[in-house]
Amino acid sequence: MIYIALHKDSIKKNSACKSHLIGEQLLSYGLLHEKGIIYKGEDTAVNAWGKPSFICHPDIFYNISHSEDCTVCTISDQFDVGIDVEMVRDFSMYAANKVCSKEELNRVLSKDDPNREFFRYWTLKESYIKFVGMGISYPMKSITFEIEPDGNILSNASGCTFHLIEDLKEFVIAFCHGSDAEGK
Amino acid sequence: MLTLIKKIIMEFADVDEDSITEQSSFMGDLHLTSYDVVCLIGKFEENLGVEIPDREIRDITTVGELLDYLGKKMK
Repeated sequence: MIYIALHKDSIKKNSACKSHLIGEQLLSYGLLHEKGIIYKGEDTAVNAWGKPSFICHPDIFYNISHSEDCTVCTISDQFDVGIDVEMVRDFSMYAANKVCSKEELNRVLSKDDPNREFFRYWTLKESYIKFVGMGISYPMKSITFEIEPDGNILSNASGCTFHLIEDLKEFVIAFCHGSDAEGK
Repeated sequence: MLTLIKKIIMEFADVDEDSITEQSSFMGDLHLTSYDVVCLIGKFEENLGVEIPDREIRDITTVGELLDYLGKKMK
Protein backbone atom coordinates (compact mmCIF):
# COMPACT_ATOMS: atom_id res chain seq x y z
CA MET A 1 0.00 0.00 0.00
CA ILE A 2 1.05 3.58 -0.60
CA TYR A 3 0.65 6.33 2.00
CA ILE A 4 0.76 10.01 1.07
CA ALA A 5 1.02 12.98 3.44
CA LEU A 6 0.69 16.62 2.46
CA HIS A 7 2.03 18.85 5.17
CA LYS A 8 1.46 22.37 3.89
CA ASP A 9 2.46 25.16 6.24
CA SER A 10 3.78 22.71 8.76
CA ILE A 11 7.18 22.37 7.26
CA LYS A 12 9.86 24.79 6.19
CA LYS A 13 11.45 24.51 2.78
CA ASN A 14 14.46 22.23 2.73
CA SER A 15 13.72 20.87 6.18
CA ALA A 16 14.76 17.37 5.26
CA CYS A 17 14.77 16.34 8.90
CA LYS A 18 11.07 17.10 9.34
CA SER A 19 10.20 15.31 6.10
CA HIS A 20 12.18 12.34 7.35
CA LEU A 21 10.14 12.31 10.57
CA ILE A 22 6.87 12.47 8.62
CA GLY A 23 8.11 9.56 6.51
CA GLU A 24 8.73 7.60 9.69
CA GLN A 25 5.21 8.44 10.88
CA LEU A 26 3.72 7.16 7.63
CA LEU A 27 5.80 4.00 7.96
CA SER A 28 4.66 3.59 11.55
CA TYR A 29 1.00 4.05 10.55
CA GLY A 30 1.29 1.58 7.68
CA LEU A 31 3.08 -1.07 9.73
CA LEU A 32 0.42 -0.90 12.44
CA HIS A 33 -2.56 -1.02 10.09
CA GLU A 34 -1.19 -3.58 7.64
CA LYS A 35 0.90 -5.80 9.88
CA GLY A 36 -0.09 -4.99 13.46
CA ILE A 37 3.52 -4.01 14.10
CA ILE A 38 4.11 -1.24 16.60
CA TYR A 39 7.01 0.65 15.06
CA LYS A 40 9.58 1.82 17.56
CA GLY A 41 12.38 2.80 15.24
CA GLU A 42 13.28 -0.82 14.51
CA ASP A 43 16.89 -1.51 13.69
CA THR A 44 17.58 -1.28 10.02
CA ALA A 45 20.38 -2.55 7.86
CA VAL A 46 21.51 -0.67 4.80
CA ASN A 47 22.89 -2.16 1.64
CA ALA A 48 26.09 -0.99 -0.04
CA TRP A 49 24.26 1.98 -1.54
CA GLY A 50 22.34 2.98 1.59
CA LYS A 51 18.92 1.38 1.00
CA PRO A 52 17.44 0.51 4.40
CA SER A 53 15.58 -2.66 5.36
CA PHE A 54 14.29 -4.04 8.65
CA ILE A 55 16.55 -6.50 10.43
CA CYS A 56 13.69 -7.98 12.48
CA HIS A 57 11.21 -8.08 9.59
CA PRO A 58 13.22 -9.16 6.54
CA ASP A 59 10.01 -10.07 4.71
CA ILE A 60 8.67 -6.52 4.88
CA PHE A 61 9.84 -4.09 2.21
CA TYR A 62 9.37 -0.35 2.43
CA ASN A 63 10.51 2.84 0.80
CA ILE A 64 10.02 6.52 1.57
CA SER A 65 10.37 9.67 -0.52
CA HIS A 66 9.64 13.34 -0.06
CA SER A 67 9.58 16.48 -2.14
CA GLU A 68 8.79 19.89 -0.69
CA ASP A 69 5.59 19.44 1.33
CA CYS A 70 4.67 15.94 0.16
CA THR A 71 5.93 12.73 1.74
CA VAL A 72 5.11 9.24 0.48
CA CYS A 73 5.74 5.78 1.88
CA THR A 74 5.08 2.32 0.49
CA ILE A 75 5.06 -1.00 2.32
CA SER A 76 4.89 -4.52 0.85
CA ASP A 77 5.24 -8.04 2.18
CA GLN A 78 5.40 -9.55 -1.30
CA PHE A 79 7.98 -7.71 -3.36
CA ASP A 80 10.72 -5.20 -2.95
CA VAL A 81 9.58 -1.67 -3.69
CA GLY A 82 10.84 1.74 -4.73
CA ILE A 83 8.93 5.02 -4.66
CA ASP A 84 9.68 8.59 -5.63
CA VAL A 85 7.74 11.85 -5.47
CA GLU A 86 8.68 15.14 -7.07
CA MET A 87 6.99 18.50 -7.17
CA VAL A 88 6.34 19.50 -10.77
CA ARG A 89 8.43 22.59 -11.49
CA ASP A 90 10.68 23.93 -14.21
CA PHE A 91 13.04 21.11 -15.02
CA SER A 92 16.74 21.57 -15.65
CA MET A 93 18.22 20.67 -19.02
CA TYR A 94 21.38 19.72 -17.12
CA ALA A 95 19.42 16.95 -15.44
CA ALA A 96 17.47 16.06 -18.57
CA ASN A 97 20.63 15.62 -20.63
CA LYS A 98 22.14 13.54 -17.85
CA VAL A 99 19.28 11.07 -17.32
CA CYS A 100 17.01 11.01 -20.39
CA SER A 101 17.58 9.03 -23.55
CA LYS A 102 17.30 10.95 -26.83
CA GLU A 103 13.82 9.52 -27.39
CA GLU A 104 12.66 10.42 -23.88
CA LEU A 105 13.98 13.95 -24.22
CA ASN A 106 12.20 14.38 -27.56
CA ARG A 107 8.95 13.22 -25.96
CA VAL A 108 9.43 15.61 -23.02
CA LEU A 109 10.06 18.59 -25.28
CA SER A 110 7.11 17.80 -27.56
CA LYS A 111 4.54 17.76 -24.75
CA ASP A 112 2.20 20.62 -23.85
CA ASP A 113 3.46 20.32 -20.28
CA PRO A 114 7.14 19.35 -20.63
CA ASN A 115 7.82 19.89 -16.91
CA ARG A 116 5.25 17.28 -15.86
CA GLU A 117 6.44 14.91 -18.57
CA PHE A 118 10.06 15.27 -17.46
CA PHE A 119 9.21 14.55 -13.84
CA ARG A 120 7.20 11.49 -14.93
CA TYR A 121 10.42 10.09 -16.42
CA TRP A 122 12.55 11.30 -13.52
CA THR A 123 10.35 9.71 -10.85
CA LEU A 124 10.02 6.46 -12.83
CA LYS A 125 13.81 6.23 -13.07
CA GLU A 126 14.25 7.15 -9.40
CA SER A 127 11.64 4.61 -8.33
CA TYR A 128 13.60 1.96 -10.21
CA ILE A 129 17.00 2.82 -8.73
CA LYS A 130 15.37 2.92 -5.28
CA PHE A 131 13.79 -0.47 -6.03
CA VAL A 132 17.16 -1.98 -6.93
CA GLY A 133 18.69 0.00 -4.06
CA MET A 134 21.60 1.50 -5.95
CA GLY A 135 21.17 5.26 -5.49
CA ILE A 136 22.32 7.90 -7.95
CA SER A 137 25.37 5.91 -8.97
CA TYR A 138 23.01 3.86 -11.17
CA PRO A 139 23.22 5.00 -14.80
CA MET A 140 19.75 6.54 -15.06
CA LYS A 141 19.97 6.96 -18.82
CA SER A 142 20.25 3.20 -19.24
CA ILE A 143 16.78 2.53 -17.84
CA THR A 144 14.30 3.81 -20.38
CA PHE A 145 10.55 4.33 -20.43
CA GLU A 146 7.73 5.02 -22.78
CA ILE A 147 4.42 6.22 -21.39
CA GLU A 148 1.60 5.22 -23.74
CA PRO A 149 -1.45 7.47 -24.25
CA ASP A 150 -3.57 5.17 -22.06
CA GLY A 151 -1.02 5.48 -19.23
CA ASN A 152 0.54 2.07 -19.75
CA ILE A 153 4.24 2.21 -18.91
CA LEU A 154 6.75 0.37 -21.07
CA SER A 155 10.31 -0.12 -19.84
CA ASN A 156 13.47 -2.06 -20.59
CA ALA A 157 13.66 -3.04 -16.90
CA SER A 158 12.85 -6.67 -16.15
CA GLY A 159 11.34 -8.23 -13.05
CA CYS A 160 9.38 -5.18 -11.99
CA THR A 161 6.26 -3.16 -12.72
CA PHE A 162 5.76 0.60 -12.69
CA HIS A 163 2.86 2.88 -11.84
CA LEU A 164 2.43 6.64 -11.98
CA ILE A 165 0.18 8.35 -9.44
CA GLU A 166 -0.90 11.82 -10.43
CA ASP A 167 -3.89 12.48 -8.18
CA LEU A 168 -2.08 15.51 -6.77
CA LYS A 169 -1.85 18.33 -9.29
CA GLU A 170 1.47 19.64 -7.99
CA PHE A 171 3.25 16.31 -7.68
CA VAL A 172 4.15 13.22 -9.64
CA ILE A 173 4.61 9.93 -7.78
CA ALA A 174 6.16 6.85 -9.37
CA PHE A 175 6.02 3.42 -7.78
CA CYS A 176 8.07 0.37 -8.75
CA HIS A 177 7.56 -3.12 -7.36
CA GLY A 178 8.92 -6.55 -8.10
CA SER A 179 6.70 -8.67 -10.28
CA ASP A 180 8.37 -12.08 -10.10
CA ALA A 181 11.08 -13.94 -8.23
CA GLU A 182 13.74 -11.97 -10.07
CA GLY A 183 12.29 -8.73 -8.86
CA LYS A 184 12.05 -9.73 -5.22
CA MET B 1 37.94 26.42 -8.37
CA LEU B 2 36.40 26.36 -4.88
CA THR B 3 34.78 29.75 -5.55
CA LEU B 4 33.23 28.43 -8.78
CA ILE B 5 32.01 25.29 -7.02
CA LYS B 6 30.41 27.37 -4.26
CA LYS B 7 28.76 29.67 -6.80
CA ILE B 8 27.19 26.75 -8.67
CA ILE B 9 26.15 24.97 -5.47
CA MET B 10 24.33 28.12 -4.35
CA GLU B 11 22.12 27.86 -7.44
CA PHE B 12 20.76 24.62 -6.01
CA ALA B 13 21.20 24.86 -2.24
CA ASP B 14 19.34 27.29 -0.02
CA VAL B 15 22.42 28.18 2.06
CA ASP B 16 24.80 31.08 2.58
CA GLU B 17 28.13 30.96 0.77
CA ASP B 18 29.99 31.11 4.07
CA SER B 19 28.32 27.92 5.26
CA ILE B 20 29.71 25.93 2.32
CA THR B 21 33.03 24.37 3.28
CA GLU B 22 35.12 21.57 1.82
CA GLN B 23 33.69 19.34 4.54
CA SER B 24 30.07 20.07 3.59
CA SER B 25 28.23 17.01 2.35
CA PHE B 26 25.78 17.62 -0.48
CA MET B 27 22.85 15.68 0.89
CA GLY B 28 23.52 15.85 4.63
CA ASP B 29 24.75 19.39 5.21
CA LEU B 30 23.50 21.24 2.16
CA HIS B 31 20.19 19.32 1.99
CA LEU B 32 20.45 18.72 -1.73
CA THR B 33 18.19 16.05 -3.19
CA SER B 34 19.30 13.44 -5.69
CA TYR B 35 17.71 15.62 -8.38
CA ASP B 36 19.76 18.62 -7.22
CA VAL B 37 22.96 16.53 -7.26
CA VAL B 38 22.30 15.33 -10.81
CA CYS B 39 21.62 18.95 -11.91
CA LEU B 40 24.81 20.04 -10.17
CA ILE B 41 26.91 17.33 -11.79
CA GLY B 42 25.35 18.06 -15.19
CA LYS B 43 26.14 21.74 -14.84
CA PHE B 44 29.78 21.06 -13.91
CA GLU B 45 30.09 18.70 -16.88
CA GLU B 46 28.78 21.25 -19.33
CA ASN B 47 30.53 24.30 -17.88
CA LEU B 48 33.92 22.65 -17.40
CA GLY B 49 33.84 20.25 -20.35
CA VAL B 50 34.45 17.17 -18.22
CA GLU B 51 32.52 13.91 -17.97
CA ILE B 52 31.61 12.55 -14.56
CA PRO B 53 30.46 8.92 -15.02
CA ASP B 54 27.43 7.88 -12.97
CA ARG B 55 29.40 5.14 -11.21
CA GLU B 56 31.81 7.78 -9.88
CA ILE B 57 29.11 10.12 -8.53
CA ARG B 58 28.61 8.00 -5.41
CA ASP B 59 32.22 8.68 -4.40
CA ILE B 60 31.69 12.44 -4.56
CA THR B 61 29.72 13.21 -1.42
CA THR B 62 31.36 16.41 -0.18
CA VAL B 63 32.48 19.72 -1.64
CA GLY B 64 36.09 18.77 -0.96
CA GLU B 65 35.73 15.47 -2.81
CA LEU B 66 34.24 17.32 -5.79
CA LEU B 67 37.11 19.81 -5.67
CA ASP B 68 39.68 17.01 -5.68
CA TYR B 69 37.82 15.10 -8.41
CA LEU B 70 37.56 18.10 -10.74
CA GLY B 71 41.16 19.05 -10.04
CA LYS B 72 42.34 15.61 -11.20
CA LYS B 73 39.98 15.57 -14.18
CA MET B 74 41.16 18.94 -15.45
CA LYS B 75 44.90 18.25 -15.18
